[in-house]
Parts: sequence; structure tokens; C-alpha cells
Amino acid sequence: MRATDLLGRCLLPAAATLAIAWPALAEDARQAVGDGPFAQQDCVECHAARDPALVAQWRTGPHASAADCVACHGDRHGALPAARADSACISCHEGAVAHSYATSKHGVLIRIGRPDWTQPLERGRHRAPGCAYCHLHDGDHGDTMDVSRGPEVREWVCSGCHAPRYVREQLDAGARLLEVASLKVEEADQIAARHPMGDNASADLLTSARRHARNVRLGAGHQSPDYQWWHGQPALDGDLIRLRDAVARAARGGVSGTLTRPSAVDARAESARLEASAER
Amino acid sequence: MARARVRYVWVPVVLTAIALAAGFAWVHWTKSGPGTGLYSRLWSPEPVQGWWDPMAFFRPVQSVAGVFEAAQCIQCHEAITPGIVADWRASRHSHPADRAPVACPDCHGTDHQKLRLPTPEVCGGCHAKQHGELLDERRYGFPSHVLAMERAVDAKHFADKPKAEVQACVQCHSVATKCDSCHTRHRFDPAEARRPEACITCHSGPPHPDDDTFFASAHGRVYREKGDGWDWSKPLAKGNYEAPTCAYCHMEGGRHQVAHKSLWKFGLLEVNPHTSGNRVLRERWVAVCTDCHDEAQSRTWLADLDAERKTAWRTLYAAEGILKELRADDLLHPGPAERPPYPLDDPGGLWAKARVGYFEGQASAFYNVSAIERDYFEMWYFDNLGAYKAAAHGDAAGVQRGHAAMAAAFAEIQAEAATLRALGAAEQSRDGRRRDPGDLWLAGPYTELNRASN
Repeated sequence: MRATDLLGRCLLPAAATLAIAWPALAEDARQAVGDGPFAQQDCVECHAARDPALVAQWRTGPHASAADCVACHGDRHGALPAARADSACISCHEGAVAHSYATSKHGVLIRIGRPDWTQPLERGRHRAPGCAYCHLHDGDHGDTMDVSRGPEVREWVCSGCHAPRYVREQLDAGARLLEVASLKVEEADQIAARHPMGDNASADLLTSARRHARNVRLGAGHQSPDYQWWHGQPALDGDLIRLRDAVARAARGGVSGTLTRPSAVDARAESARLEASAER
Repeated sequence: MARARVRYVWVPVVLTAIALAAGFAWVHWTKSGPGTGLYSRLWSPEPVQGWWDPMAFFRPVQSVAGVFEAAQCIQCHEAITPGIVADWRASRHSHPADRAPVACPDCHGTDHQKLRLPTPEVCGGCHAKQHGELLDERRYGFPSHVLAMERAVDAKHFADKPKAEVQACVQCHSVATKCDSCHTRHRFDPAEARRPEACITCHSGPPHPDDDTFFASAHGRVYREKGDGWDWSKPLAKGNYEAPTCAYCHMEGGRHQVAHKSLWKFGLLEVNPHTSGNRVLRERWVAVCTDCHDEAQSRTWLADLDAERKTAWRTLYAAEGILKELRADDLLHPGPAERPPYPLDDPGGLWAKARVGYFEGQASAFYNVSAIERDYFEMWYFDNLGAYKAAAHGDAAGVQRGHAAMAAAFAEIQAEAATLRALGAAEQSRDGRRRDPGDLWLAGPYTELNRASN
């Protein structure tokens, strides 16, 4: 049998039959397993047979060690729309991750719009991307935005709404912004190594520098100018100043007065975050 | 004799004329570099800047050639960028009540190799009233939306820092060069732009926590509680909204002019609120407040804001005085000559400038300065401006927090100054001079990149 015959006589009719019968089959399966509640093991047992690729993606993705099916989907069938909503993500991904997204244009449009989470997470189906639209694009159960997926994947997702060249130039700009932040972290390490008491003396400031570099990354990824800038680059500049001051002060035989004071950037972000969580 | 003297009168006149012409020529020359603004010869734009300042830097894509009509644009872009086509279809542009649809070519042009990214001038072609109001902000100076881009690129740190770093700035400052900062493309729905969240992508963060302070205020609490249920298609006019939002007060009646009531100028300027000019601005505020509140009460609240500013400025001046004394006694560590220079400091030049601390470098003094100056910068820019925003938006707890932080920072600056004096005096008597920090402030991969690329 030639390949085209195989396709025409067997596979296509089979696929068509399956496509027509699928909702009924799914309904049957649902009735067969009952209404739940299901435990994690139940989900994986059934879905490993029905959607092996999806389960495999989850197993090798970042959530495998942290969040099981129930964490996002609840313990009953029919909660797919709720799992697509931002609220499913920010119950875990709070703090700078959620705040950098919430202040971006994407986050704002989701907040003030009326997103229709019954729509699949496909190109052109949403006014603005929620968390899952980009990170779990089109049913992906890994992380679509993971660096290891390569730039083409990100370009494909973003260009659902933005011109391809716009996307490329934005991604390039973000990469260069991050290079600058990495240079600042490197500079911080080099300054700390010059401390007469060893670089452990500057541990807090080095942690602070890494946190601010992460803010730059979140700002670039989530397109939050506030995180690229005020929570990021100038905050890193402050870390460098305080690190240098600590080294200079130790050499002069004094203790740096500025070491103990938390950066006003973080203090303000922290108080805003606490207020926001108090509301919830 | 008298005639000769009259002739001499012409000398200063001619010299002045020559100086004026030379001045104009010089300013024109400084603005004719690869960048824009006063320092245009000192920087070149990142490729991405074309999207933020299209008038100056946008280059149309050359990979697609041809002249297209709207239907053809839509046919192709429905596959390439389905999101924006769906947005446009849902917009009023696609089905206006009173005219033919405003479609792709109306804003972008028809020749794909000569496409334009719409600037305010393009939008102003139809929305002339709003565009005129935006341009009118120029009369009131900065801060204002219309001058945001010019003043950003004319900031010294924009010229000084790597362009890959400061492209973060122009994203918000593009509010002057594009309309979609607030009217998110491609729906451009006024109902979206009226929501306070439309402002917070830029009006948030430590120096201007407009979001936190508004949401914490009585106005903001009403909005948070009920705002999702309001009809945002209504104009920003008296009686249409239960509580005011950013745009209700700052763009009253939908007026695209945020600068014409501004007294305290974002908290950046110390003003006398009682000058005749400022009284006119104050009356404009009272007119907005009295949409809902009693006039006398409104005036009291605005006077409270003045009082808050007076207190804050006293502390700022006291801290600035401490820094100036340290500089006069060469006790800042590193001193002006021991830190990486701005190219604009003209190091080694005829008129080399010592840029020291916030009060002289303005917003630029957040890097390459000593720790006590950075303390002053953070107090000025974060604590003080945060307190101002809280006072202006009616967030009493925020005012208290800001002033407590200022008091703590001031105490620390005082203590730090005493330490610097003690250390300096000890080194002076031991070595005859303040300790040399060597290359501590000059070495490192970022600092070197910055020096090399400038």
C-alpha cells in the first residue's frame, strides 16, 4: 500500500471519526471516572495514557517538583478556565514576579479587561496575555518562555500580537539590558573580594545586588519599565556604591554607616506589597 | 567727535548680533548628532528606540515590498499578527458611527517599505482637540507629558550611561511621542484609558508611587471596591463617577493637558503657592475638588499639602547643607576627582565641573557618588517624593511613612557626616591628607564599559 493510500484510506477517516467521536468519548471517560475529587495519582494515571506528551512535558518542566495537577486545576474536572487565569499562578508566584507583571501593560489590560478564560491560549484569542498565555502557551505544560526553548519560540508567541521585527528588537534590547546588569553583579563581586575581612563581609549587599539583577530580568521579561529601572538598574548602582563604601571604610579603620540601612527601593516595594497582600 | 562716539555705539550692537547668531548655530550643531536633544552628538540610539520615538528613529521594515489596501493588510496580518487584527476589529476605528472606517493605511500608510508608526501628529489629524491640548502643555514646562521625551534624553545620565541601560527610561518617556502609552493599541478604547491602571505602568515605583498612594487613599478605596462595576464609557465629568481616579482630576473633562494645574511640579520644585500665577493654578484645582467637596474644605486640604512640602523642604535643605560643608572641607570619600567622571563634567577641560551629590547633579546623582550622597539621593528621590505623592493623593499613612523615613535618613546622614569628619581629621593629622581611595571607584567591568563607550 502506498503512503498516500495509507493516508487516504485509513488514517484520515480514522482521525475524522476520532475527532467527531472525541467529545462523546471524553464524556464517557468522565462518567467512567466519576466527578472526583481526584488525587494527583489519579490524574497522572489516567492522563499519562490519554495525553502522554502533556504529562511528559509536566514531568520535565519546572512545575514537576513544585506544583501537581491539583494545584492549578483543582481536584475536579471542568476547571480548565480557572487554571488559565492569572489567579491560578499568583497564589504561588507572588512578590516581584507578580508585581512586575501587574505593572506592565499586559498585566494592566488583564486586570481592567474581562478576559475570557474559556478561550484556549492560542494566538489571536486574547486581548492581552495573562501569565499562562506566554508561559503555558497553547496548552504547553513546561515553560514556553524558558531560555532553553530558544528565541524562535518566544518570537512566535509575542508576534501573535506584535510585528516580528518589533519582537526581535525588544528581545535583543532586553538581552543587552541584562548584560549590563550582569556586568554590575560582576563588578559587585570584584569589589567584595577587595574587602579586608573577605567577601563574606559583604554577603548582604551581594544578595541585594543579585535580587536587583533579578528585578531587571523580570522587568525585561514582563515588560515593566519600573522593574527594569527603579527596582533594577539604579538599585544596582546603589549596591555598588555601598559595597565600595564598605571596602573603603574598612581600609580607613571604620565601619560603614550605610551598610545596615535597607535600600529605600526595597523598603517601598515591601510596604506596597504588604498592603496589597493585606487587601487580599 | 560726537559722531565718532555714536559710531562706537554700533560695536556692542554688532558684537551682540554675532554672539546671538553664533549661539543659535552652536545649539543647532549640538542637536545635529546621531541622537536627539542637547547631547545628540554624545549618543547613538539603540535599534529599539525607533519604537519609542518613531518620529526621530523609526525605520520601516524593508523585507516586504508593495503598496496595499486595507483589505490586503488585514488578509495577511490576520495570519501574521492575529491579535492586533482582532483588537482593531473590536475598536471603534473599524466601525465608527459617523464616517468610513479608519483602517491600517490611514495611520500607517500604504507602501510597506515606507510604513510609518503613528506619532501624536498622525492621531491629531483626526483628534485635533486632544492633540492641541497635549501640545499646550509646553506652556507650563516640565514635568508634563509633552516634554517627557525631550527632557529624558537631555538628562545627563542618559548621555552618560550605556544606551542599552537607559533604553529602560524612554519606554515611559515615550508618552510624548506616541498616543498608545494610555490608549493601548489597537483598540484605543477611551474606557481603558480612563481606568487608573492605565497610568500605573509608568506612574509607579519609588520616586512616584502614584499607584500605591492613590489606591491607599479614600478615593482609591472606593475605586477598588466598586470600580470594576462602573460604566467607563462615560466622560470624566461631574456626576458620572462615584469617586475620582487619576484621569478624573488630572485630565478633568477629558482634557489632554496634565500640566495646567501643576503647582508643585511632581514634587521636584520648591514653589511659593501664593504667587499670582500659582493662585490661578490653585483655583483650577479647587474647581475640580468642588465637583464633590465643599470649597473651604478643599482649600484646607490643599493648604495641608503646602504645609507638608514646607516641612519636607526644611529637612532637604538641612541635609544639603551638611553635604556642602563636607565637600568644602574635602571630606567626601571619594572626592570629586577620585570618582569616574561624567563625560559632561569635561574632565581635564578648560571648564571642568565637579559634580557632587544630588543637589547639583539633580536626578543623575544616583551612581558614581559617595555613600552619603547616595543616602541623600534616596532620601530626596524616594522618601521625600513618596511623601509628596501621598500628601497630594490623600494617603495619610503614606505621608507619615515618608516623613519617618526622611527623619531616619537625616539622622543617618548626620551620623555619617560626623564619622567622615572624624576619619578625615585622624588621617589629616597622621598622613597630612584624607586617605586616597586609589582605583576603588574607578575599576570594574561595568565602570570600564561605561568609560570605554563614552
